[in-house]
Amino acid sequence: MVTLYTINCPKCLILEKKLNDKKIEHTICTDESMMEAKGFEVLPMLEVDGQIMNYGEAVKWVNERS
Amino acid sequence: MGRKSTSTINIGITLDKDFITQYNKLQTEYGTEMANLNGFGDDQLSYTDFIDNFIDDDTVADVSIDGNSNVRRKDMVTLLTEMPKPHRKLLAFHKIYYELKKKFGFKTANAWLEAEWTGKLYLHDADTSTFKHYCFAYDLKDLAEKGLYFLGGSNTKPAQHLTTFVDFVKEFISFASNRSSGAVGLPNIIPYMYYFWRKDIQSDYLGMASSNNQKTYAIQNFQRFIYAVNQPCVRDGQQSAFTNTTVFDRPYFEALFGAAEFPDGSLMIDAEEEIIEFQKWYMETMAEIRSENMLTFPVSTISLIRKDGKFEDEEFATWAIKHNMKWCDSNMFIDKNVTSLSNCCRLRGSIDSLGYFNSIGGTALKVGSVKVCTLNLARIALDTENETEYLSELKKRTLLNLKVLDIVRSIIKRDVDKGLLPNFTYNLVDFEHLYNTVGFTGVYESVKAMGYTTRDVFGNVEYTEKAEAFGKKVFDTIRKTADKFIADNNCDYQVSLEQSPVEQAASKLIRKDKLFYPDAEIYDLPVYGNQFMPLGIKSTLQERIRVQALFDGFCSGGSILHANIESPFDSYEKARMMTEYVADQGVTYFAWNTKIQACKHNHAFYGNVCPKCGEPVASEYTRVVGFYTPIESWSSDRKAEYKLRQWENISET
Repeated sequence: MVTLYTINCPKCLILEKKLNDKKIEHTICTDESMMEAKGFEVLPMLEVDGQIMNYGEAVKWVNERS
Repeated sequence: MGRKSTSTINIGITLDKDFITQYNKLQTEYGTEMANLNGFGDDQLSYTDFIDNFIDDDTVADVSIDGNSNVRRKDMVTLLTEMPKPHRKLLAFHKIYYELKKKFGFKTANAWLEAEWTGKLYLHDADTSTFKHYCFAYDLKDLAEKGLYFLGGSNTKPAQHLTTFVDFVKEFISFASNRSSGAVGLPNIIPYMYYFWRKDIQSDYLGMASSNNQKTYAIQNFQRFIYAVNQPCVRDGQQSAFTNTTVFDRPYFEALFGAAEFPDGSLMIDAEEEIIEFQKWYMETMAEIRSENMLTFPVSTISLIRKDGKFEDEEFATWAIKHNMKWCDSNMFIDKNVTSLSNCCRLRGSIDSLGYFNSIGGTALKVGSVKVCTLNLARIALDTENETEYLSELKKRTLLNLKVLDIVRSIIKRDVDKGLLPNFTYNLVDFEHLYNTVGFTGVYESVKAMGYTTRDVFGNVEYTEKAEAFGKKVFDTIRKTADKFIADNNCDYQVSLEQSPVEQAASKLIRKDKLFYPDAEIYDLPVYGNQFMPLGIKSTLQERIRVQALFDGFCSGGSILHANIESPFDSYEKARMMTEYVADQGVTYFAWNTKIQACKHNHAFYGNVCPKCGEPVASEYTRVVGFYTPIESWSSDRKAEYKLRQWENISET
């Protein structure tokens, strides 16, 4: 289960494109209240099977997918 | 015989009548010494006398009306640059006075000129204040993608190779620094150098694809850049360009460059690990160069995230602290989150600042200042009797300061409209990203005047609880006055607050104050302090750090702690522990500052004999206000201040 938390900022869009390019199935969350409740201060964030990744970690994770 | 056979030629300069009246009144009322401190003495305005004095004086910083220790060579170019400064300053002040009168009225214009004349305010780089903006941290994206397009003519092709890009950067710095009076920040130079280096390797330029010299190729180009910015002819033909560069840990890198594309469309973020490594090569090259040649620029900053007592990028932080042990030559910018340097990734909240900024370095991308006008806080203490009066007067002087900066900004905008500043026309700099900067100096002297300092049993100065409360009131007053001014005047810009470096201003302001209050008890040093606890005041390192942390947050990033250490760190553990300690106390921006010796060949070392050539010490370097310069090039007041500086013996720590 992959969830992208996004406000459609430039980095959010890059991460979304990378997910799409690699055909990684994901849901998109734009609910800012929920993101605040999760303690996010900066975006985008990616949640993979319950593990939260910041932008840098998420990019590396996506890049490593075949 | 020459003098007796000379006469004076009257060269007319047409100026506003009210300005001339006020100028003449100030000349008469405050006398020759004050006029000289302003650069408006007869000897200074007379070209022939200026030339005589220039030739007779040993140090350029002492004869210039606005000198700095970065101007070290006394030659014909320096003379030609320094000679017209008093006249330029006169024209600049006239223009400011005239525009102030138009917008804010005759009384305000007169009040400003008198405040500036008598040392209540200090407009930095006054002789260029209506001609050029102050400083900026440039984005090199357009340079990488379009080349030297801003020079016009046939300079329209982008660089294809790393060597060409470095040449372009050199041209860029020359162009930018000659059209500004302060620092040229280059926060993303390293990622772009990496890009061209990788491109050369991938395209097998000069056989690089299979070469064993790929790293050497990068190092050679770092050397070309570093040596180029230190040549004493880049700015005004007489001094090196004040440049600063920053290296970032992974969280900062991702925040600042996470969405950035290289000219070929590839993403910086996809090369993050390689660029992190490339940054280290760059920094190691700079350190290596110091052993060969103790250079001043670029001022270097290392940016790290540290949260809940932990560095987020432990690997990079470990490398950074180890690296900085050798020369203590990097400023450390350590914050709890990335938002101070990068606005674009914030989840919530309005962007209420342009980002971290100060004139020393380590700024965010694309941020700078139109001009800095410094409040002489010590003088307010001298002019008032108690805290209430002090704060009331502070409000008035801050308002005057804001009006002057507002006018300077509008004048430079018109210079741009007239096509006189192509750095703006070509969008290398833009007003949207420029603060108006209220500077301050004399915090310690104010606190002392209020009676809010004490001494421990060893004679170390400490700030009392009242000092903390007073300092907060001072910065709140400045901030609130600025916010109200912005709202009342519908300003389309923001105001930053900076602990001004005041390399020469600190000396001029104290000299002016002594003319009014010769017996005041706040003159502990030959110059006013540019640190919350000045370097010449006997205090503990812990207290300096505590005081810095107390007031740091009020300055929108515009302050730096210089922690003087007698000698470099003797162990990584100690360097790490002390770096963590400073950061965890809440100091965002600081530098370990030590004394570096140099032989006659300018090899840097510690000790009495150069390990490279066996020569004895010929000069000593330390940070004058923000960058390492040889003490011999400092002004006489700065040299006197240096003798009083306190140094922590960390081998006993």
